[in-house]
Amino acid sequence: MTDLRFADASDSALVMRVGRYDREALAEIYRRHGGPVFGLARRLAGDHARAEEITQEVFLRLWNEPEKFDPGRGALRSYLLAHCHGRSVDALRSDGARRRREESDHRRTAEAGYDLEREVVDMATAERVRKSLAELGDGEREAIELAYFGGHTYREVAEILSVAEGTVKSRIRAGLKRLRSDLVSEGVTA
Amino acid sequence: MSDKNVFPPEGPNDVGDTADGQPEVDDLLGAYALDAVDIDERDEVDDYLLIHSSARDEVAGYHDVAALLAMSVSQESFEAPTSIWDRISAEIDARPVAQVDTSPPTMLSPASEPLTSPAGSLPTSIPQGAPNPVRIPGGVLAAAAALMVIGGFIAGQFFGGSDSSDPTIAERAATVFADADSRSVDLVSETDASVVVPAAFGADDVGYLDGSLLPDIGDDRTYQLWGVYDDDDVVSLGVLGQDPGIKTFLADEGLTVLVVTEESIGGVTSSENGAVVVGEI
Repeated sequence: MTDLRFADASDSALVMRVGRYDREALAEIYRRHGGPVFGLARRLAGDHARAEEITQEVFLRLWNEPEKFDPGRGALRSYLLAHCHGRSVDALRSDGARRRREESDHRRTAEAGYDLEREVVDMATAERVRKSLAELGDGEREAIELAYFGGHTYREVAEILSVAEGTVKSRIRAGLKRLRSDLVSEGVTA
Repeated sequence: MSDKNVFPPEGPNDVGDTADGQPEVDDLLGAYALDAVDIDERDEVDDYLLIHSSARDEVAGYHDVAALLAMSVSQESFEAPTSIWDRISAEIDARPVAQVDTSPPTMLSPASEPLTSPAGSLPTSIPQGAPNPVRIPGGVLAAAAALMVIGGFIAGQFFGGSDSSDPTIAERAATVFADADSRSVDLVSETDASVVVPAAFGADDVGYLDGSLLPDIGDDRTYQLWGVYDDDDVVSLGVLGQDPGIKTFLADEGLTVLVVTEESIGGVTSSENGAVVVGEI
Protein backbone atom coordinates (compact mmCIF):
# COMPACT_ATOMS: atom_id res chain seq x y z
CA MET A 1 0.00 0.00 0.00
CA THR A 2 2.84 2.38 0.73
CA ASP A 3 4.11 4.32 -2.24
CA LEU A 4 7.71 5.31 -1.74
CA ARG A 5 7.20 8.40 -3.88
CA PHE A 6 5.11 9.83 -1.08
CA ALA A 7 7.10 8.69 1.92
CA ASP A 8 8.58 12.14 2.47
CA ALA A 9 5.70 14.19 1.14
CA SER A 10 3.96 16.60 3.46
CA ASP A 11 0.34 16.07 4.34
CA SER A 12 -0.63 19.14 2.34
CA ALA A 13 1.16 17.82 -0.70
CA LEU A 14 -0.67 14.54 -0.34
CA VAL A 15 -4.01 16.29 -0.16
CA MET A 16 -3.09 18.15 -3.32
CA ARG A 17 -2.45 14.82 -4.97
CA VAL A 18 -5.78 13.53 -3.70
CA GLY A 19 -7.29 16.58 -5.38
CA ARG A 20 -5.89 15.15 -8.57
CA TYR A 21 -7.39 11.72 -7.95
CA ASP A 22 -4.17 10.10 -6.85
CA ARG A 23 -5.22 7.02 -4.95
CA GLU A 24 -1.70 6.30 -3.72
CA ALA A 25 -1.66 9.69 -2.03
CA LEU A 26 -4.82 8.78 -0.16
CA ALA A 27 -3.25 5.46 0.73
CA GLU A 28 -0.29 7.27 2.26
CA ILE A 29 -2.62 9.56 4.21
CA TYR A 30 -4.45 6.51 5.45
CA ARG A 31 -1.20 4.85 6.42
CA ARG A 32 -0.23 7.90 8.45
CA HIS A 33 -3.54 8.74 10.07
CA GLY A 34 -5.85 5.76 9.69
CA GLY A 35 -4.83 4.24 12.98
CA PRO A 36 -5.62 7.23 15.17
CA VAL A 37 -8.87 7.82 13.32
CA PHE A 38 -9.95 4.23 13.78
CA GLY A 39 -8.84 4.28 17.42
CA LEU A 40 -10.94 7.33 18.18
CA ALA A 41 -13.94 5.94 16.34
CA ARG A 42 -13.70 2.67 18.22
CA ARG A 43 -13.40 4.39 21.54
CA LEU A 44 -16.42 6.57 20.90
CA ALA A 45 -18.62 4.18 18.98
CA GLY A 46 -17.72 1.26 21.20
CA ASP A 47 -18.31 -1.10 18.34
CA HIS A 48 -15.69 -2.44 15.95
CA ALA A 49 -17.92 -2.62 12.90
CA ARG A 50 -19.29 0.86 13.46
CA ALA A 51 -15.78 2.20 13.95
CA GLU A 52 -14.74 0.70 10.64
CA GLU A 53 -17.69 2.35 8.91
CA ILE A 54 -16.84 5.71 10.40
CA THR A 55 -13.18 5.43 9.45
CA GLN A 56 -14.15 4.54 5.93
CA GLU A 57 -16.47 7.55 5.78
CA VAL A 58 -13.76 9.90 7.02
CA PHE A 59 -11.29 8.94 4.32
CA LEU A 60 -13.85 8.75 1.55
CA ARG A 61 -14.93 12.25 2.47
CA LEU A 62 -11.36 13.43 2.07
CA TRP A 63 -11.27 11.68 -1.28
CA ASN A 64 -14.51 13.28 -2.44
CA GLU A 65 -14.04 16.71 -0.90
CA PRO A 66 -10.34 17.42 -0.46
CA GLU A 67 -11.04 21.13 -0.76
CA LYS A 68 -12.67 21.03 2.68
CA PHE A 69 -9.24 20.67 4.26
CA ASP A 70 -7.66 24.05 4.88
CA PRO A 71 -3.94 23.68 5.54
CA GLY A 72 -3.78 27.21 6.81
CA ARG A 73 -5.84 26.36 9.82
CA GLY A 74 -4.47 23.20 11.21
CA ALA A 75 -2.94 19.82 10.71
CA LEU A 76 -4.50 17.16 8.54
CA ARG A 77 -4.63 14.75 11.45
CA SER A 78 -6.61 17.26 13.50
CA TYR A 79 -8.98 17.74 10.61
CA LEU A 80 -9.51 14.01 10.14
CA LEU A 81 -9.94 13.35 13.83
CA ALA A 82 -12.39 16.23 14.15
CA HIS A 83 -14.50 14.75 11.39
CA CYS A 84 -14.18 11.30 12.91
CA HIS A 85 -15.32 12.64 16.25
CA GLY A 86 -18.31 14.36 14.72
CA ARG A 87 -19.39 11.24 12.88
CA SER A 88 -18.83 9.08 15.92
CA VAL A 89 -20.89 11.36 18.11
CA ASP A 90 -23.66 11.44 15.53
CA ALA A 91 -23.69 7.67 15.54
CA LEU A 92 -23.59 7.53 19.29
CA ARG A 93 -26.49 9.88 19.65
CA SER A 94 -28.60 8.01 17.18
CA ASP A 95 -28.54 4.59 18.73
CA GLY A 96 -29.07 2.85 21.99
CA ALA A 97 -25.41 2.41 22.71
CA ARG A 98 -25.44 5.85 24.19
CA ARG A 99 -27.35 4.85 27.27
CA ARG A 100 -25.17 1.85 27.87
CA ARG A 101 -22.08 4.00 27.74
CA GLU A 102 -23.27 6.77 30.00
CA GLU A 103 -22.84 5.00 33.28
CA SER A 104 -19.40 3.66 32.55
CA ASP A 105 -18.20 6.90 31.03
CA HIS A 106 -19.39 8.86 33.99
CA ARG A 107 -17.77 6.48 36.44
CA ARG A 108 -14.54 6.55 34.54
CA THR A 109 -14.28 10.29 34.35
CA ALA A 110 -15.96 11.42 37.52
CA GLU A 111 -15.06 8.71 40.02
CA ALA A 112 -11.85 7.17 38.88
CA GLY A 113 -10.79 10.62 37.84
CA TYR A 114 -8.02 9.95 35.43
CA ASP A 115 -8.63 6.51 34.15
CA LEU A 116 -7.15 7.44 30.78
CA GLU A 117 -3.71 6.82 32.22
CA ARG A 118 -3.72 3.08 31.67
CA GLU A 119 -4.29 3.64 27.97
CA VAL A 120 -1.65 6.21 27.38
CA VAL A 121 0.93 5.19 24.85
CA ASP A 122 4.58 5.25 25.68
CA MET A 123 5.23 8.44 23.82
CA ALA A 124 6.52 11.74 25.08
CA THR A 125 3.72 13.59 23.38
CA ALA A 126 1.05 11.46 24.94
CA GLU A 127 2.72 11.83 28.29
CA ARG A 128 2.75 15.59 28.02
CA VAL A 129 -0.87 15.69 26.93
CA ARG A 130 -1.84 13.48 29.82
CA LYS A 131 0.05 15.66 32.22
CA SER A 132 -1.57 18.80 30.90
CA LEU A 133 -5.00 17.26 31.11
CA ALA A 134 -4.37 16.11 34.65
CA GLU A 135 -3.33 19.58 35.67
CA LEU A 136 -6.67 21.04 34.70
CA GLY A 137 -9.14 21.74 37.44
CA ASP A 138 -11.51 18.86 38.11
CA GLY A 139 -14.45 20.73 36.69
CA GLU A 140 -12.73 21.58 33.44
CA ARG A 141 -11.29 18.10 32.96
CA GLU A 142 -14.56 16.34 33.68
CA ALA A 143 -16.47 18.60 31.34
CA ILE A 144 -13.98 18.06 28.51
CA GLU A 145 -13.82 14.31 29.00
CA LEU A 146 -17.57 13.87 29.17
CA ALA A 147 -18.05 15.99 26.08
CA TYR A 148 -15.19 14.65 23.99
CA PHE A 149 -14.87 11.03 25.03
CA GLY A 150 -18.43 10.58 26.23
CA GLY A 151 -20.03 12.24 23.22
CA HIS A 152 -22.31 14.33 25.42
CA THR A 153 -23.61 17.78 24.61
CA TYR A 154 -22.71 20.49 27.08
CA ARG A 155 -26.31 20.47 28.26
CA GLU A 156 -26.06 16.79 29.06
CA VAL A 157 -22.76 17.35 30.78
CA ALA A 158 -24.39 20.03 32.91
CA GLU A 159 -27.07 17.56 33.92
CA ILE A 160 -24.56 14.82 34.72
CA LEU A 161 -22.42 17.14 36.80
CA SER A 162 -25.39 19.01 38.29
CA VAL A 163 -24.07 22.41 37.33
CA ALA A 164 -25.40 25.23 35.18
CA GLU A 165 -25.13 24.93 31.40
CA GLY A 166 -23.25 28.20 31.21
CA THR A 167 -20.75 26.87 33.68
CA VAL A 168 -20.07 23.85 31.50
CA LYS A 169 -19.63 25.98 28.38
CA SER A 170 -17.15 28.16 30.21
CA ARG A 171 -15.30 25.19 31.70
CA ILE A 172 -14.92 23.49 28.34
CA ARG A 173 -13.66 26.61 26.62
CA ALA A 174 -11.39 27.66 29.45
CA GLY A 175 -10.05 24.15 29.82
CA LEU A 176 -9.30 23.84 26.12
CA LYS A 177 -7.62 27.22 26.18
CA ARG A 178 -5.48 26.17 29.12
CA LEU A 179 -4.57 22.88 27.48
CA ARG A 180 -3.69 24.61 24.26
CA SER A 181 -1.48 27.16 25.95
CA ASP A 182 0.23 24.49 27.99
CA LEU A 183 0.86 22.21 25.00
CA VAL A 184 2.15 25.09 22.91
CA SER A 185 4.54 26.15 25.64
CA GLU A 186 5.72 22.53 25.92
CA GLY A 187 6.33 22.43 22.19
CA VAL A 188 3.80 19.67 21.68
CA THR A 189 1.83 21.69 19.15
CA ALA A 190 2.43 24.93 17.28
CA MET B 1 5.25 33.08 27.92
CA SER B 2 5.43 34.32 24.34
CA ASP B 3 2.50 35.89 22.56
CA LYS B 4 2.21 32.70 20.57
CA ASN B 5 1.18 30.90 23.72
CA VAL B 6 -1.66 33.23 24.48
CA PHE B 7 -4.50 31.29 22.99
CA PRO B 8 -7.04 32.36 22.09
CA PRO B 9 -6.08 36.05 22.04
CA GLU B 10 -6.80 37.73 25.32
CA GLY B 11 -10.05 39.63 25.22
CA PRO B 12 -12.78 41.02 27.39
CA ASN B 13 -12.95 37.95 29.59
CA ASP B 14 -10.52 35.32 30.73
CA VAL B 15 -11.19 32.93 27.89
CA GLY B 16 -10.52 35.45 25.20
CA ASP B 17 -13.63 36.75 23.46
CA THR B 18 -13.11 37.70 19.86
CA ALA B 19 -12.85 41.43 19.49
CA ASP B 20 -15.85 42.01 17.23
CA GLY B 21 -17.76 38.84 17.92
CA GLN B 22 -20.84 37.89 19.84
CA PRO B 23 -19.93 36.77 23.36
CA GLU B 24 -22.81 34.31 23.55
CA VAL B 25 -21.56 32.55 20.42
CA ASP B 26 -17.93 32.82 21.49
CA ASP B 27 -18.90 30.97 24.66
CA LEU B 28 -20.00 28.03 22.53
CA LEU B 29 -16.73 27.65 20.62
CA GLY B 30 -15.16 25.15 22.96
CA ALA B 31 -18.23 22.96 23.11
CA TYR B 32 -18.64 23.32 19.36
CA ALA B 33 -15.09 22.11 18.75
CA LEU B 34 -15.87 18.99 20.77
CA ASP B 35 -19.17 18.38 18.95
CA ALA B 36 -20.97 19.06 22.21
CA VAL B 37 -23.59 21.48 20.96
CA ASP B 38 -27.09 20.88 19.68
CA ILE B 39 -27.80 20.95 15.96
CA ASP B 40 -29.34 24.42 15.97
CA GLU B 41 -26.39 25.78 17.89
CA ARG B 42 -23.99 24.06 15.53
CA ASP B 43 -25.64 25.79 12.60
CA GLU B 44 -25.42 29.10 14.41
CA VAL B 45 -21.73 28.65 15.07
CA ASP B 46 -21.12 27.47 11.50
CA ASP B 47 -22.58 30.73 10.22
CA TYR B 48 -20.60 32.71 12.76
CA LEU B 49 -17.33 31.11 11.73
CA LEU B 50 -17.86 32.14 8.12
CA ILE B 51 -17.36 35.77 9.02
CA HIS B 52 -15.21 35.63 12.16
CA SER B 53 -11.72 34.56 11.29
CA SER B 54 -10.43 34.73 14.84
CA ALA B 55 -13.19 32.36 15.91
CA ARG B 56 -12.19 29.97 13.14
CA ASP B 57 -8.62 30.07 14.39
CA GLU B 58 -9.82 29.44 17.91
CA VAL B 59 -11.83 26.40 16.87
CA ALA B 60 -8.92 25.09 14.78
CA GLY B 61 -6.72 25.37 17.85
CA TYR B 62 -9.22 23.42 19.89
CA HIS B 63 -9.35 20.76 17.20
CA ASP B 64 -5.58 20.43 17.55
CA VAL B 65 -6.00 19.93 21.27
CA ALA B 66 -8.78 17.41 20.73
CA ALA B 67 -6.60 15.50 18.29
CA LEU B 68 -3.84 15.31 20.86
CA LEU B 69 -6.30 14.09 23.45
CA ALA B 70 -7.44 11.39 21.08
CA MET B 71 -3.86 10.39 20.37
CA SER B 72 -3.02 10.18 24.04
CA VAL B 73 -5.57 7.60 25.03
CA SER B 74 -5.49 4.71 22.63
CA GLN B 75 -2.36 2.63 22.46
CA GLU B 76 -3.69 0.15 19.98
CA SER B 77 -4.81 2.79 17.53
CA PHE B 78 -1.52 3.54 15.84
CA GLU B 79 -1.69 0.78 13.27
CA ALA B 80 -4.12 1.51 10.49
CA PRO B 81 -6.21 -1.59 9.77
CA THR B 82 -5.54 -2.73 6.22
CA SER B 83 -9.00 -4.23 5.97
CA ILE B 84 -10.52 -0.76 6.13
CA TRP B 85 -8.22 0.49 3.41
CA ASP B 86 -9.32 -2.38 1.24
CA ARG B 87 -12.90 -1.25 1.67
CA ILE B 88 -12.04 2.36 0.96
CA SER B 89 -10.18 1.34 -2.15
CA ALA B 90 -13.08 -0.79 -3.33
CA GLU B 91 -15.47 2.08 -2.73
CA ILE B 92 -13.31 4.40 -4.80
CA ASP B 93 -13.28 1.87 -7.59
CA ALA B 94 -17.05 1.68 -7.52
CA ARG B 95 -17.62 5.41 -7.79
CA PRO B 96 -17.55 7.37 -11.02
CA VAL B 97 -15.31 10.38 -11.03
CA ALA B 98 -15.21 13.49 -13.11
CA GLN B 99 -13.60 13.30 -16.50
CA VAL B 100 -12.18 16.50 -17.81
CA ASP B 101 -10.15 17.83 -20.62
CA THR B 102 -6.55 17.76 -19.51
CA SER B 103 -5.03 18.95 -22.72
CA PRO B 104 -2.00 20.94 -21.68
CA PRO B 105 -2.17 24.65 -22.33
CA THR B 106 0.91 26.63 -23.15
CA MET B 107 0.89 28.80 -20.12
CA LEU B 108 3.73 31.08 -21.07
CA SER B 109 1.76 32.02 -24.14
CA PRO B 110 -1.15 32.96 -21.97
CA ALA B 111 -3.52 34.42 -24.47
CA SER B 112 -3.69 31.41 -26.71
CA GLU B 113 -4.79 28.36 -24.78
CA PRO B 114 -7.61 27.61 -22.39
CA LEU B 115 -6.99 26.65 -18.81
CA THR B 116 -8.75 23.57 -17.63
CA SER B 117 -9.70 22.29 -14.25
CA PRO B 118 -12.05 19.56 -13.24
CA ALA B 119 -15.74 19.92 -13.25
CA GLY B 120 -17.45 17.94 -10.53
CA SER B 121 -20.62 18.33 -12.52
CA LEU B 122 -19.36 16.04 -15.24
CA PRO B 123 -20.12 12.63 -13.77
CA THR B 124 -18.59 10.40 -16.37
CA SER B 125 -16.25 7.53 -15.80
CA ILE B 126 -12.62 7.59 -16.70
CA PRO B 127 -12.02 5.53 -19.77
CA GLN B 128 -9.34 2.94 -19.49
CA GLY B 129 -6.01 4.49 -20.29
CA ALA B 130 -7.27 8.04 -20.11
CA PRO B 131 -5.04 10.68 -18.55
CA ASN B 132 -5.52 11.40 -14.88
CA PRO B 133 -8.40 13.77 -14.38
CA VAL B 134 -7.76 16.96 -12.52
CA ARG B 135 -10.02 18.58 -10.03
CA ILE B 136 -9.97 21.66 -7.92
CA PRO B 137 -7.38 20.95 -5.28
CA GLY B 138 -7.69 20.42 -1.59
CA GLY B 139 -7.87 23.27 0.82
CA VAL B 140 -7.51 26.08 -1.59
CA LEU B 141 -11.13 26.77 -2.36
CA ALA B 142 -12.18 26.52 1.23
CA ALA B 143 -9.44 28.89 2.26
CA ALA B 144 -10.08 31.19 -0.63
CA ALA B 145 -13.81 31.24 -0.02
CA ALA B 146 -13.21 32.18 3.57
CA LEU B 147 -10.63 34.76 2.68
CA MET B 148 -12.88 36.36 0.10
CA VAL B 149 -15.11 37.53 2.89
CA ILE B 150 -12.32 39.30 4.66
CA GLY B 151 -9.69 39.82 2.03
CA GLY B 152 -9.73 43.56 2.27
CA PHE B 153 -9.06 43.42 5.95
CA ILE B 154 -6.13 41.09 5.48
CA ALA B 155 -4.51 43.41 3.00
CA GLY B 156 -5.08 46.31 5.34
CA GLN B 157 -3.34 44.54 8.14
CA PHE B 158 -0.44 43.34 6.08
CA PHE B 159 0.27 46.77 4.67
CA GLY B 160 -0.02 48.55 7.95
CA GLY B 161 -3.72 49.13 8.12
CA SER B 162 -5.41 49.10 11.45
CA ASP B 163 -8.06 46.56 10.75
CA SER B 164 -7.48 42.85 10.42
CA SER B 165 -9.75 39.86 10.64
CA ASP B 166 -6.98 37.38 10.11
CA PRO B 167 -3.68 38.51 11.56
CA THR B 168 -2.40 34.97 11.65
CA ILE B 169 -2.32 34.56 7.88
CA ALA B 170 -1.08 38.09 7.35
CA GLU B 171 1.72 37.53 9.81
CA ARG B 172 2.65 34.21 8.27
CA ALA B 173 2.73 35.81 4.85
CA ALA B 174 4.89 38.67 6.10
CA THR B 175 7.33 36.21 7.60
CA VAL B 176 7.57 34.14 4.45
CA PHE B 177 7.94 37.17 2.16
CA ALA B 178 10.67 38.56 4.42
CA ASP B 179 12.60 35.32 4.59
CA ALA B 180 15.49 35.44 2.14
CA ASP B 181 15.55 31.66 2.07
CA SER B 182 11.97 31.32 0.91
CA ARG B 183 11.37 30.37 -2.69
CA SER B 184 9.59 33.17 -4.43
CA VAL B 185 8.37 34.25 -7.83
CA ASP B 186 6.94 37.45 -9.26
CA LEU B 187 3.93 37.01 -11.49
CA VAL B 188 4.09 39.74 -14.11
CA SER B 189 1.90 41.15 -16.82
CA GLU B 190 3.03 41.10 -20.41
CA THR B 191 1.29 44.37 -21.10
CA ASP B 192 1.66 46.45 -17.95
CA ALA B 193 4.96 46.45 -16.07
CA SER B 194 3.34 48.03 -13.04
CA VAL B 195 1.24 44.95 -12.38
CA VAL B 196 3.32 42.56 -10.29
CA VAL B 197 2.00 39.83 -8.03
CA PRO B 198 4.69 38.45 -5.73
CA ALA B 199 4.31 34.94 -4.44
CA ALA B 200 6.43 33.08 -1.92
CA PHE B 201 6.44 29.56 -0.59
CA GLY B 202 6.55 28.74 3.08
CA ALA B 203 6.91 25.49 4.91
CA ASP B 204 4.59 22.58 4.31
CA ASP B 205 3.75 23.60 0.75
CA VAL B 206 1.74 26.65 1.64
CA GLY B 207 2.15 29.49 -0.82
CA TYR B 208 1.35 33.13 -0.22
CA LEU B 209 0.33 35.57 -2.89
CA ASP B 210 0.00 39.33 -2.70
CA GLY B 211 -2.56 40.41 -5.25
CA SER B 212 -2.93 43.97 -4.07
CA LEU B 213 -1.50 45.43 -7.30
CA LEU B 214 -3.93 43.66 -9.57
CA PRO B 215 -6.10 46.14 -11.49
CA ASP B 216 -9.65 46.90 -10.44
CA ILE B 217 -12.23 44.71 -12.12
CA GLY B 218 -15.99 44.80 -12.40
CA ASP B 219 -18.36 43.70 -9.68
CA ASP B 220 -19.27 40.61 -11.64
CA ARG B 221 -15.66 39.54 -12.13
CA THR B 222 -13.08 37.74 -10.02
CA TYR B 223 -9.44 36.86 -10.21
CA GLN B 224 -8.56 33.18 -10.21
CA LEU B 225 -5.21 31.50 -9.56
CA TRP B 226 -4.05 28.49 -11.57
CA GLY B 227 -1.09 26.19 -11.24
CA VAL B 228 0.61 24.30 -14.02
CA TYR B 229 2.47 21.17 -13.03
CA ASP B 230 5.43 19.46 -14.54
CA ASP B 231 3.19 16.71 -15.84
CA ASP B 232 1.10 19.34 -17.66
CA ASP B 233 -1.79 19.16 -15.26
CA VAL B 234 -3.51 22.49 -14.83
CA VAL B 235 -5.24 23.02 -11.52
CA SER B 236 -7.30 25.85 -10.13
CA LEU B 237 -5.50 26.96 -7.00
CA GLY B 238 -8.26 29.23 -5.85
CA VAL B 239 -10.78 31.92 -6.63
CA LEU B 240 -9.13 35.11 -5.44
CA GLY B 241 -11.99 37.57 -5.50
CA GLN B 242 -12.00 41.11 -6.86
CA ASP B 243 -9.46 42.58 -4.49
CA PRO B 244 -7.21 39.67 -3.57
CA GLY B 245 -4.75 41.15 -1.11
CA ILE B 246 -2.90 38.35 0.65
CA LYS B 247 -4.03 34.85 -0.23
CA THR B 248 -2.80 31.41 0.64
CA PHE B 249 -2.68 28.45 -1.67
CA LEU B 250 -1.27 24.96 -1.75
CA ALA B 251 1.95 24.69 -3.71
CA ASP B 252 2.98 21.08 -3.83
CA GLU B 253 5.75 19.34 -5.64
CA GLY B 254 5.77 19.70 -9.37
CA LEU B 255 4.19 23.14 -9.53
CA THR B 256 6.06 25.01 -12.24
CA VAL B 257 3.98 27.99 -13.28
CA LEU B 258 1.47 30.25 -11.57
CA VAL B 259 -1.12 32.12 -13.57
CA VAL B 260 -3.84 34.58 -12.59
CA THR B 261 -6.82 35.03 -14.88
CA GLU B 262 -9.90 37.21 -14.72
CA GLU B 263 -13.14 35.27 -14.68
CA SER B 264 -16.84 35.57 -14.00
CA ILE B 265 -17.55 35.89 -10.30
CA GLY B 266 -17.53 32.55 -8.56
CA GLY B 267 -14.70 31.29 -10.70
CA VAL B 268 -14.63 28.70 -13.43
CA THR B 269 -13.48 25.15 -13.87
CA SER B 270 -12.09 25.78 -17.32
CA SER B 271 -10.85 29.13 -18.54
CA GLU B 272 -10.79 30.51 -22.02
CA ASN B 273 -9.15 33.71 -20.87
CA GLY B 274 -5.55 34.69 -21.10
CA ALA B 275 -3.30 35.38 -18.17
CA VAL B 276 -3.42 38.68 -16.38
CA VAL B 277 -0.08 37.82 -14.79
CA VAL B 278 2.11 34.77 -15.03
CA GLY B 279 5.27 33.59 -13.33
CA GLU B 280 7.50 30.59 -13.77
CA ILE B 281 8.70 29.07 -10.53
